[in-house]
Amino acid sequence: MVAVMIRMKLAMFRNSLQGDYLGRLFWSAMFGLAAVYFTYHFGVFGNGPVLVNREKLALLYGIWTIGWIFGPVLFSGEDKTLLPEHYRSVPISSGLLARGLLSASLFGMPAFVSLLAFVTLVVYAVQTGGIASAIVSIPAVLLQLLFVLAVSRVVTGLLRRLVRSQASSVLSNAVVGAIMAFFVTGWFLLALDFGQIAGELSGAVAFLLNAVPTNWAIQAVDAAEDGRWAHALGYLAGMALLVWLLLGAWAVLLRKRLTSSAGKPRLRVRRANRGSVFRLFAGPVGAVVRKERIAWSRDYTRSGFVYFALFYSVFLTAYPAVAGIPAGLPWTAALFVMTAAGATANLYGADGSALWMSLVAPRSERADVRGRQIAWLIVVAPVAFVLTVATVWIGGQGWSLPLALTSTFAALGGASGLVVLNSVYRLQPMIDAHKRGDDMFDHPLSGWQFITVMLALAILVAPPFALTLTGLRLGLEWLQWVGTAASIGFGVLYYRWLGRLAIKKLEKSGPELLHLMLHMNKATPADSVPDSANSADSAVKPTVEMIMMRLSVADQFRLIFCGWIGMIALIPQGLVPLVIKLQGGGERSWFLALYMPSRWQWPVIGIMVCGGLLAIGYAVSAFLAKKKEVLKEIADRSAKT
Amino acid sequence: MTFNKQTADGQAPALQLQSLRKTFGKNAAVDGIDLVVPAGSFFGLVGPNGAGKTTTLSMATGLLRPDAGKALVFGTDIWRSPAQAKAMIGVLPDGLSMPERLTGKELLFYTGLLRGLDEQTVNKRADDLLGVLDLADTEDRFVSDYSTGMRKKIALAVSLLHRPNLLVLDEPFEAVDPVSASVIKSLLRKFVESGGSVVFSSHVMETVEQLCDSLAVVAKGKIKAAGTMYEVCAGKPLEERFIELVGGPIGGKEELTWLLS
Repeated sequence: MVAVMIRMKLAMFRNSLQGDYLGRLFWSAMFGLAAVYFTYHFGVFGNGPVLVNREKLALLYGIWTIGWIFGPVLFSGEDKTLLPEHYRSVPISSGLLARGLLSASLFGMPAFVSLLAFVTLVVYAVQTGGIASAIVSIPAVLLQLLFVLAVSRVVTGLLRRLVRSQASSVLSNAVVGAIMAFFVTGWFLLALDFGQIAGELSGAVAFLLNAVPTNWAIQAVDAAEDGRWAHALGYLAGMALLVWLLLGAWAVLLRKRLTSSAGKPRLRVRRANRGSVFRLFAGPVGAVVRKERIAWSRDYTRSGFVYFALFYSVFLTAYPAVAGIPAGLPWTAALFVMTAAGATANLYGADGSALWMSLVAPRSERADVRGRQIAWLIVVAPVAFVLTVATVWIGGQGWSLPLALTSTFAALGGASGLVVLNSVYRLQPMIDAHKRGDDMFDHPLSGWQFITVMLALAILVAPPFALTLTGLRLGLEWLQWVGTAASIGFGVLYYRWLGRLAIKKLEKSGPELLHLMLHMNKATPADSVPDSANSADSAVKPTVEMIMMRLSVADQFRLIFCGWIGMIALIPQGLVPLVIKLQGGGERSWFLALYMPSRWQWPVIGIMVCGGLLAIGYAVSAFLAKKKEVLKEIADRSAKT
Repeated sequence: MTFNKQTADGQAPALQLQSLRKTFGKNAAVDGIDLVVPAGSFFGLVGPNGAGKTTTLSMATGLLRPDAGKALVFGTDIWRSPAQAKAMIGVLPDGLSMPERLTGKELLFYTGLLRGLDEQTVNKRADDLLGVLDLADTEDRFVSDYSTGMRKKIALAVSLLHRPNLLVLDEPFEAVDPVSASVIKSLLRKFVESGGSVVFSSHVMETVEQLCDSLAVVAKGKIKAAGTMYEVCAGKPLEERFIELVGGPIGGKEELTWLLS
């Protein structure tokens, strides 16, 4: 049975070696190998004494384990090739199913990459000791791999059960928000007197690192090196026992998952609560507002995005504040609105094919768009205002209130327009709500949309912000408040104007959006561009993702590589040193040109800028050429019919 | 097939499709369909799986833009004057999502308001429909928790709520239990008797034979036969006539000896 599952997994893997799956595989392999490189670089080839390497290795294994635990939540990376549901009707025990699935997942890219990383243990063993520790390190590596796979499955399974209520949605999004924010501003915490703190904690930290199971493999190797064979075997046996226990726990979770009907553990019964203040919203627009508000409060995936935005932005400014730099605090609310806009900018995509209900109701497009905008504001605006006032107060930066209010008002107006506009112009089809679970696993964010919506919002906020900022700079209080008032005007303008654009689009190409929704979320990405766009007559334009997916893997690599290299050459290696040099020098940091002899500095900056522009130009032109090709293909298909 | 804009009694047909065409990639899902559904008729659209029934009905109801051709609802082009045409029809699509986190009752309530009905009327109609369709006990459950048959029934209620003149139903009886199916059948019959028109697709011949006065047989995106039940059947049982028109192998017992011995 286990062997059959492994063969199924390998067959699926073989079948996926084509089209865009191959592209994705390539990128995940690149990402994984980069992580492996860092593991070797810091773990075993660092130039510290062996003892330091040992601690570092322990830390790195801890990070790998955390990656396995939270990876599926953060990146929707649960192994979807073999789902336990596929074996629901096969007469096998859940224990056997757990063993089979775990064995099958050994034959995948993530497991392979992790194996490469854990082989550092063998290198470490060879470095520190002799043949004995090297021999022990081999089973230790395998057990380490099994351990991370099993712990990932168990934690993912637990989270899967957790992310099904409003409270657990808050909890899990708090964790995810804190982690994501840490990657951005968490390093401020490192600016604390870390040496001193580390000195105080090192004993405890070292003990903890040694005690946690992620470190048992290293302990086993160390014990073997010292000739403490009983200890070495004890650690290995402990790991085996732990894997066995985790498998047992996972089997229990699997049994629950497969026997609670189709992922819906309980009957949800609601009393209609139409007696609330929302009765004030009347007419078709009111109907949509009330319907949407209910959707926000009951769809934990949807509200989860808002919780995520809240915690992410709060942590984003709180980390530096804890480190003694409270300057970011007043912008928490604006960041929250921007993140929430980025995360929820696929409103129509999230509703899936339910769009048909608006399409069959005559003249309902306006009500649908406006209602969604108002409901979005009802969800986000109150929190944003509380955050604005609270963070200004906590930071003790009263002077920043007009500026903070300006950014909050403008961001709210802009966001309420952008979320509907983006979701009709750049619809990302998702699995229909009744076919997906409540959790984030089935509901990944599109990073590109997220970033572009946030950037667009930043641009929209800029004009009133500049006005208030001018008032602040010139010390004119009245001008600051004029700017704040202007931000309300801008917000209303954005709400109306962007909303109207969305209404027009929905009126013009509602059927195409429905078609896109129905046919793009099927797993036929290679053929789907012309198919869906064929009917669209240019009403639905190919998105960046669609064009990228149609490039060959090598072209994708070349394009992204050139884009990145170009950006790095142009900005941090070209323009930034240029500015530093014009200002008469300063921190050399990693700016290559500034390390050059002075007569070479200008030429190097010139080369960097020109090279960067060339590389970016190449990437952009390659992308546009492909876009042209895709558009032509669409036109050809349309012409044929 | 004739394309008189007016039928014999001078009333525009409930639904008229003219040279409708839709191609997905290289596959012509609907390949020039012409069809007239007279007002007041109970019309069946039958065909094997993948014949183009859903594509045809989607184009006729404003859910899928045709590559070519027209769809007229009581003489109004649904793609030229969508608001006017859509006000006259009730649509039950097959297998599409709904606002899943609403309860059945709420779904009807908000859809009614969206259609411009007042709250009192919506509440009354919603209660009536939930009662008749045997959904009253489960009106407080989320739509996402409904079974396939219950989803069909609540979507049917949505299509009836605004009192349309023409009902366009895609596989309305699929997965519906026999008792509910019988209720729906008698409801639809009464709807037709009171002057409404019904078009529905199905691949169950008995249902079509039982309900419809006229029908069209579709296969591979084309109309194979259309007209009154009498005309299409030409004296044979519908099922036999259907297989004749659509073509297909009969039998196949010999190959499965291990199963059938």
